[in-house]
Amino acid sequence: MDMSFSAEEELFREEVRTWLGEHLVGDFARLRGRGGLGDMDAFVEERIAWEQELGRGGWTGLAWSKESGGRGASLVEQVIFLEEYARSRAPGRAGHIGEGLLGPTVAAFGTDAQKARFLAPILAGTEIWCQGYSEPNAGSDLAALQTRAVRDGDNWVIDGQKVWTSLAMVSQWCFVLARTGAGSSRHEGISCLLVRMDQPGVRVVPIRQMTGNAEFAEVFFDGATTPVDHVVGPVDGGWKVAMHTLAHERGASTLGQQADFTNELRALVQVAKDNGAANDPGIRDRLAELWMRLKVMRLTALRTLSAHDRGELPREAMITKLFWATWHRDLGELAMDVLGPDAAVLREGHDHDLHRLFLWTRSDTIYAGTNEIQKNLIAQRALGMPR
Amino acid sequence: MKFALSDEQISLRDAARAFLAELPGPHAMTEQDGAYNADAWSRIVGEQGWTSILIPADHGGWGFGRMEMAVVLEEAGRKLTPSPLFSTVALGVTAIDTLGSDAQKAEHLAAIAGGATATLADQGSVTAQRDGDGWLLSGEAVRVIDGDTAEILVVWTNAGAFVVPGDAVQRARVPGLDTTRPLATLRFDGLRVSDEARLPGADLERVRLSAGLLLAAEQVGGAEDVLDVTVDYTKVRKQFGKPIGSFQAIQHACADMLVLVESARSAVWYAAWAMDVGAPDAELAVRTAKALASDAYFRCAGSAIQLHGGIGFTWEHVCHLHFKRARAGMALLGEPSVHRAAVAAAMLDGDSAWT
Repeated sequence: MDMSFSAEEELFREEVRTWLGEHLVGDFARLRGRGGLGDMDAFVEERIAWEQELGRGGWTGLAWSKESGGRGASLVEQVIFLEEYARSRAPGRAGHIGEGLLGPTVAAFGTDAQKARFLAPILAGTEIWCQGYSEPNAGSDLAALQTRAVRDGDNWVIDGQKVWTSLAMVSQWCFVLARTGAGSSRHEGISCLLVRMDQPGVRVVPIRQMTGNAEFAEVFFDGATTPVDHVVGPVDGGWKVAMHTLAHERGASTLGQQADFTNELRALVQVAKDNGAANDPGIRDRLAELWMRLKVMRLTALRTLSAHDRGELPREAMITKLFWATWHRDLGELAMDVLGPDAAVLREGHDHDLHRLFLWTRSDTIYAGTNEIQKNLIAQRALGMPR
Repeated sequence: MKFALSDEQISLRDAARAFLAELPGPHAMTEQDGAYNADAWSRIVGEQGWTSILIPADHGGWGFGRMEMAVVLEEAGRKLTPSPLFSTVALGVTAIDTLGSDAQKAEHLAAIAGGATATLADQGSVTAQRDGDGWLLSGEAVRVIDGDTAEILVVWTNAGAFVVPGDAVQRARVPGLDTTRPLATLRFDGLRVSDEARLPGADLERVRLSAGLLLAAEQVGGAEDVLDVTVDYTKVRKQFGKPIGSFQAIQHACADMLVLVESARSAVWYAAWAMDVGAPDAELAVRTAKALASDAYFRCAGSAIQLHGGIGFTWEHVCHLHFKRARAGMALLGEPSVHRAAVAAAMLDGDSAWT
């Protein structure tokens, strides 16, 4: 048991902090605190420029191996980077799907030609990716997907519909799960295709959310094409590829979240102090409870990392998504109670952020595996209960 | 950065688990005369040496940290092992080690390492009055854990703490919700003690935090045991032609229990480390651990009864023993709401860096 960082790691932290301080200036300064979850449609072009700035600084692909052009950072270094990134209130990453999902998948399953073609532009922030997995009839049950791709000479021709695709409006590329096998059903006969978004057969329709803004889109494929060599992994064997991607989604992207959440809790505490809610015993009790659970969120993540270093996937790793999603939703509800009667009124500033938090967090317990699916997984995989 | 048990701590845990499986369970105590099994205690002291874990090497102990003690108490909590281990190490050793002079430590910690039992009486209205070169202790101490049997008593008064022999005091067990952990009322009728009996230290809060952390460790073990027992049962109990563990309603309740158990364990491990190294956030870490572990144990024990159905409501089953210990333990050494109030004060009332 040793909860301290090594001198080398502290140096790395200093390097991250210094770089962010020196570069989040000028036009980038106004991006602070923007573009995170619930706000992903804000300053998109500017955030793509920031992505390129990160790329020039060598801060993209931190977790990628050096052969893939990344930094080969340790898990602890990744945590440190994400913590400092959140602490500096640097903007939500426009390139996170390429960096966090597609890139690692191509690195693991792609051909040399695919690696040569696709990895470098992700690191440079010059190509933005979106993810074509969910469909209107394939949400929690991804294996029910219906989008189909048919071979036609040197191309695949794709027909179908994807939904809840973030960044579809600005992406150059989408990785699409489609049925390619004859008699394909459930997990069999699915392939993972890399598809250019800028073509006549692709139509993007933004989805207006209950928050009022549109961070996601429906993507319609109507005779869209992609070359036959743009399949990642084996043709008809894409399910394994998709599962690999989801494992990345659930591991890496939740790593530095506690720091973002800490910013939000701190802001809520300030509101409570300013409007007197901090004198209410019930509010005090719940703020303390949330603080405790936030601390524990970080501790459990650190336990998971330590186990990961030993090559284990411990059962506590499986509670992460359920824990943070529920925590965040509770924070959103408490935010309204802190506002008191003003919860009924939308205003600019802090209050506006709190309402966005309150509304957005209803999605946290749905995306990336609903709370119900998470509990199924915990029961069946961590506790060994029968299916 | 390594947030995991060391190989030595894992060995200690495994050895403790194997040893405790041989001891009489909690029903034996509940069914018989409500007395601890003397043979079990002599084996805990003699074979395992657990009362020596927290005692500094200078005073005949092992000089280990709270982390090691927490590992053992988690196992004892799992099996609801009836013994004065918790009161002796978490209350007795901690109070004497924190508040005592070198001479007092030398005398009393050595006695504990040799098998004496001890506890702390800090609730109630005991007062100390000067009487020549000594003191007169009067009043009543309440809810004293193992107060009716402990050989060494540390009593908190308006003039600080005193250490007195257990048999010098009038004492009586009070009926307790938790039948595996006796509570007693102690009466002091002008008991005369020498000035050497007075402990010079004043930091009772630190003693209580340290003990609260160790109680939280025990609670994590208890919570995990009720989860394990419940999951095992739902795999074999069949209704509607299937194991009930295949129903989502049951699975989701068990998943919620696992979240509580592992979260509380993270909090306890960190708090143990933070107290051992004197981290600046140690106090808040302990409050977090006690609040979360108390809540986790109680909610898990309640779920366990529900998920077992009728059998979980019977006297013979282990569920009610956990349920009662969980609720009683919640009330000891600071209820969760008390700890949350202290955390809220740090967050809201000062300028301290609570994050």
